[in-house]
Amino acid sequence: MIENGVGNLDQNMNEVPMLTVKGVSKAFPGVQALDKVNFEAFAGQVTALLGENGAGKSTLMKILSGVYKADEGDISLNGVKIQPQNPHQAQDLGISIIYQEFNLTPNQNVFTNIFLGREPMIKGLLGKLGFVDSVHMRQYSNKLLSQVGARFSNDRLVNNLSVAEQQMVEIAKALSVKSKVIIMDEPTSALGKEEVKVLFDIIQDLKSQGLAIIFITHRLEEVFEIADRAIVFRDGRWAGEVKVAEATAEQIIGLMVGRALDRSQVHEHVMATQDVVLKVQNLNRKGVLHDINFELHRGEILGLAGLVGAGRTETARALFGADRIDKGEIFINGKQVEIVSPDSAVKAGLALVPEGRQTQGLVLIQTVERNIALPNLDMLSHNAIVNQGKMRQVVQNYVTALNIRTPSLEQRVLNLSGGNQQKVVLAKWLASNPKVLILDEPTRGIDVGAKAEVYEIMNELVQQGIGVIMISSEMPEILAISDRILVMYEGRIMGELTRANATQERIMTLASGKVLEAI
Amino acid sequence: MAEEIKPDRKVRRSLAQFRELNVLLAFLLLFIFFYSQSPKVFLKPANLAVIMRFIATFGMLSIGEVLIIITGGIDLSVGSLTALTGVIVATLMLKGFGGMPTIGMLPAIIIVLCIGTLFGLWHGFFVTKLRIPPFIITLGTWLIAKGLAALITHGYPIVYPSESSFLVLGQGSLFGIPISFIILVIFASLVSIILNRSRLGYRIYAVGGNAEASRLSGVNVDRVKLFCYGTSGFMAATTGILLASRLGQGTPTVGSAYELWAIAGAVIGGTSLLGGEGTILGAILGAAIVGTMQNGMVLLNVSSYLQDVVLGTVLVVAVVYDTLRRRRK
Repeated sequence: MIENGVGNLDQNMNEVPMLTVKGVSKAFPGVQALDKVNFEAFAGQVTALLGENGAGKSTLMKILSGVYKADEGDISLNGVKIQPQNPHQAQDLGISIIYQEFNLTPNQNVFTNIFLGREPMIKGLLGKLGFVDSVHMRQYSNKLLSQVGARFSNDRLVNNLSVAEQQMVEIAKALSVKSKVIIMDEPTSALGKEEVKVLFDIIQDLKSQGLAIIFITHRLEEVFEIADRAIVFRDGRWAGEVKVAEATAEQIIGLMVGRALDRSQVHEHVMATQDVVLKVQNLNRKGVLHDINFELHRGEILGLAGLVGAGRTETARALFGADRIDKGEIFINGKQVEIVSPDSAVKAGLALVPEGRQTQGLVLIQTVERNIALPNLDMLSHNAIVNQGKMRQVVQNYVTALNIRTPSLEQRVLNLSGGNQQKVVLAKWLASNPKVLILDEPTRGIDVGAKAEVYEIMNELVQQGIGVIMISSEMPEILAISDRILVMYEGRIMGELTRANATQERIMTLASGKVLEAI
Repeated sequence: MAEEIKPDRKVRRSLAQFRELNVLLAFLLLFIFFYSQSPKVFLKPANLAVIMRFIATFGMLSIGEVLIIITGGIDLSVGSLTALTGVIVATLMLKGFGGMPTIGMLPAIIIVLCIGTLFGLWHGFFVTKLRIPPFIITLGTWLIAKGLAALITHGYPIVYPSESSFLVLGQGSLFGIPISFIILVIFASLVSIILNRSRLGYRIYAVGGNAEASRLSGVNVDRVKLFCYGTSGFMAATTGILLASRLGQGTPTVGSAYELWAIAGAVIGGTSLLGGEGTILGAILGAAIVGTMQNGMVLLNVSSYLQDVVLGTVLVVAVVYDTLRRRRK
């Protein structure tokens, strides 16, 4: 096959892989992150890499991209052994990685970002003196941008671009160095449905250009949509490989968790009562939220569905006093409450597990104990002095109850896995005894096992009579968990669905701004 | 057997948790070094008192600085505020403002402490409500306070008569320990308790670690920051009063670059400029290192130019060491 030529998929299947990883191990103090794993990626194919958090996916990707060095094992690219010493070298070899958190400089324009660190120089003396060839940069970046289907100018500042557009810049950047292998680390986690579609079109296009794509994700349905092969890691070991066309979701989940996921454990509660715990009337925020009205019952899980940017997170933040509202009344247990700040929301009995676990939910450099104590300091102190014995006891109770896996309460939360971090966020709010708990994408980016545990916790909460509002972009999750579903579109509630009559199609219809025909 | 191991482990753990250990060791080493170099003078009570007064001055400012740096800010105004508050206390007691009668020591001190605190709250207001970077707003005050101090005095010191009882604060001793040092210990203990034991202290660290997460946890971030800035202003005023007393005059030229010494003390003591980490004990020990070195080098007849070179080097080495230590973790 000619490089960059259009490859025939069937033919490739039998050919030598473009990238081969053989027996690679990597240990960190106290953990064997990778244990003799094998991995192959073929040209013109999308290889999905799956596994729970801590399975070793990121470690392998960091080895491939030169961030870490493997303790043992071989990596070869097109049959040639390679040992990238740093990301720059890995890129020179043809391996690019696009992280979940983009590597872009927000205050610079698109083409500067595409060529960051590899700016083409003007030919001749001026170039030797360090003058960059901006004419060439503009032209070439335009070509790359059109290649990834971008419709924005290369003069735009990166921080004025949407997340999806920034991702396009990252991909263009990877193309600019003539990558042979592009690794995408959960590229869809911050994208809306439409944007995911655009991304998948781009990936298809890259495939047809003969690139090998490695696609790391937590969303199984995406694997079936885009991937040709799926490789599963578990606890730092290779757990299995399937051809996606021949595999089932249960099979893959089975490989990931080492046991088949019991679907019945997801949700089976009918706790919702008729007592209204939260009533929202005419909530308005100029240009963002328009006349939001709804009720939440004790023991009910109310799903908030809609596309990214439909106003779900904004509703949660407005309720919680994180953003100012222009108009609207909020009643808790029938009594009107004045919520002007998160501070007053907490006092009124609200709790919010925010969208950004690491940026908004946790103080990463602090311990498990301090994070859980933070919203509860009033309760845990006497005369303004924290009762440390009581604090330790309360925190320990929740760590045990929620099965938070941490060596000690003094562990900094930044050292915990995503799932355990999320449980710390949950713990800190459970300790505050809320009447209403708002969960914004509570299972995003956490592994299957931890997800099940989060559902379990939600079940227990509703049994205690707490009202739960859950925002989720994962349709199956919303459908499985919610007693009722509100669907939002452009800052308005488009409609309400009951557990009985909710379907993916109906949610999508409302979420795209159309009115449902009579059910 | 098990009983023997247990306390041993406990000791080792608490030693490992004693994060200021390195700073304390460095301080002791310095102390021994200067003692060995000038054994006759260094340990004399009179010289120790000089060192303690040094430490009191920088330590007091470091307390405020640590609080602010933990929240992720910085306070560049404290040196100038020291001069301004010293000048005001002297004017109130000795000359009276604009023809007003002079007032006694206690009301003068209380007024000046209020002024210092108000300056701090003023900074806090700009930082929290107007979202002005702390560097800028405190730099503004640095210049304003310097100018005001010179305006009030027309550039000349206001000298206390030598029999004034005000001078006891900065010059007197109790059981051989300078009163200013005792005041430092009191304030340091108080703020230390607030930081380590109180609800407010927990919130200060949380705000420094992640202000948005703290806000979304129901912490009134603005109030927390106002407390820190207000305290820093209060500490600057305290230092200004003690310095005026020690020098026997309110003078506009005092306190120059003290804010940098205070920041240096805090940083040597392990405070992270990124916010979220730092202790009062560390900062006081940092200030002690700075104070001891200044004194020791004077005793060794090191030229004052070279002193600055040495202190600057120590600062850089301390920060580099601390950064590497953190990264290893």
